[in-house]
Amino acid sequence: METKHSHFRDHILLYILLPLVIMTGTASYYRFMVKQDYMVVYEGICDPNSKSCFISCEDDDCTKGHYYSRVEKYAPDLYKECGKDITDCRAASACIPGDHKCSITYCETGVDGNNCSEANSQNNNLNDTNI
Amino acid sequence: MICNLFPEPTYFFFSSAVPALLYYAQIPATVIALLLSFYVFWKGRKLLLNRLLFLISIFFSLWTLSTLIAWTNIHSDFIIFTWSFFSLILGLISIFCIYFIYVFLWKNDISVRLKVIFITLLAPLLILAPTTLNLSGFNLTNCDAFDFEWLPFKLYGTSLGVLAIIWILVLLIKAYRVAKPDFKKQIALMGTGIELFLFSFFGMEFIATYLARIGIFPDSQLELYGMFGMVIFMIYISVLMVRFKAFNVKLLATQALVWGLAALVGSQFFFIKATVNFVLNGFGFLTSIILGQYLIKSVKKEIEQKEKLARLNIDLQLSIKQRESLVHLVTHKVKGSFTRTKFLFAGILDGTFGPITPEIKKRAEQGLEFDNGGIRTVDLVLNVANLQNGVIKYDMQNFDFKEMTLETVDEKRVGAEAKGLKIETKINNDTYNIKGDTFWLKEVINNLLENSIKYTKEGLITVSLEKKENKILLSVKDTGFGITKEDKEHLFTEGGRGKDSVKINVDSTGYGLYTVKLIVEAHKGRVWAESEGADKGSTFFVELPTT
Repeated sequence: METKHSHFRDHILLYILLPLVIMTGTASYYRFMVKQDYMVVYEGICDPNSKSCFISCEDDDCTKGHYYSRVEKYAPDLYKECGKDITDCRAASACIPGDHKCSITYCETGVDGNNCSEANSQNNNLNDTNI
Repeated sequence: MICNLFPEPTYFFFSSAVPALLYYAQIPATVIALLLSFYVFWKGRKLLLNRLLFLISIFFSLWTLSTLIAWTNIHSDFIIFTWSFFSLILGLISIFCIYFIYVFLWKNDISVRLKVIFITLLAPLLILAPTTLNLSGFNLTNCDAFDFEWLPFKLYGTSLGVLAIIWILVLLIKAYRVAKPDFKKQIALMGTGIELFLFSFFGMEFIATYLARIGIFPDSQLELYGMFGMVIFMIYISVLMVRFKAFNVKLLATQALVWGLAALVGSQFFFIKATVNFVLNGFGFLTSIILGQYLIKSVKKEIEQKEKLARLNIDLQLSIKQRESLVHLVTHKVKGSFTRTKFLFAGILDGTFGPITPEIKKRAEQGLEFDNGGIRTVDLVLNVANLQNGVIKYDMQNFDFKEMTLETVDEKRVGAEAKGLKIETKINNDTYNIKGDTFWLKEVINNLLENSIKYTKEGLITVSLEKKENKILLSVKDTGFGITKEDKEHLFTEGGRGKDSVKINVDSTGYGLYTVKLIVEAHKGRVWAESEGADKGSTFFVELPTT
């Protein structure tokens, strides 16, 4: 017993750290790779006629650009709705009933120096949420 | 989820859309670290220090691999999974660097208490890494997770790096103050190497992330320069191995140099775009490997030969020691036998065993003479062995060398005249005070005189003494058999005898003149002989410093 005890004391780093590292690795793998348990933020489609959209400039003079809203969704929901690639997925730009966590942020002039489009809608500067 | 920032990379992290520096900074550093530490580990797998160095290199490689994936991969699941380990790997590198320095400085494993402290420090990173307190989300637009890192967690990982830098510095100073001079140099080298590594690694990572966050730089590309710290660390490790044989590894400096060079040249393949450059780099890569291998082989051969010589030298020393003890054993046994028979012959001669006939008396006298000759020979051999080993301690005192010479000549005169030889002395009127061992210097004069008497059939032996500046020159000149050119070469060597010396002197051992040489040299003098050739006589000279 004494030998076993001293062997454990001598290799305490190995016996405690190694299982902990393996457990951490497994837990991370399960969370991110299997369950995809994380939020995803991306640029959603935004209609400047009805919403105040963020403007993304492609050059310094802002002659070319596109409008977008900031969408935050729970990754598993997005996978279910759009698959791996959300490029042409309209569902990605809206919060759908059944989404576990979802929020769409529109542009708010004066906040963090945002460059916003002029919108006609009453919903201007509002967040659509479904959390 | 796919981010459409880059095209899909090959083999997880090979992409042409990322800065070339990414590969150039990470791949050579990782390859050099892994190669060197694996070599060290392989050569001394049971040594804790070697294991720790290899472990640190593995953690570093995991870091570079994770960084490459985070920069180039486009799959959010995979990136965020890899991203979740960043702080943990930083923590592991910090803690294991401290552990490594402890073992390096004190050549021993650390206490259980310290190990528990290390586990405690790493525990928050291990427990929280897979949780939302580390990472909560991913930005598909930028293809990163910076916005979703929990700052306290991130800061904790980095603070372990700062802790390691300070902790190691304190340990180094503490050990340096009490270390022996040679180990002080090792501490300075190791300390500089590891501190530079940690500082560039953590410092750059922190500065780059901070500058990217506050918007001074568009991304954290600056942190890539921190990777070169590992190369610097490995250079210091190589110097320690080559100069101080640290890690118990015989690493050829050439080997480290060649592989380091090959790794640097080889890493350029990852960002070369033009075919011509690719071919040229390929040629350079192959040439460096082929020529390097040739160089390593040559140096290795030279080192093997040196090691073989060193081993042979050890074997030779062992053989000499064994031979010496054998000489002592044999000579003592032989001397014992001679002494016993000497007393038997002496007993016969003095009538202890009753009356004897004249014939028995004659034979007993002969026997006694042979015994005395045998004892003298054994003493001579024993003296040589003792003089060679330094067993004999000279009792140095001031005395008159002239007086000693005259006294010895007088002692030998009877024997010489019995053989029909004449001895004369030529001594200039001067003072001949020297500092030396009277017993052994008398042996020198004795040996030279006996030698001349033995090898001179008829004629004259002249013993001269003169003083030149601060030196005394003793010469013993005879009209004897002389010395041939061939014999002269091994005259004062161990067991060295003239070609025909045994014909003239059957008791010749070849140790007499060698003894003279050992004694004279121990008195900071020199001895030599001159002769015009066979049958032309010879002169032996001894030069000794005066007081």
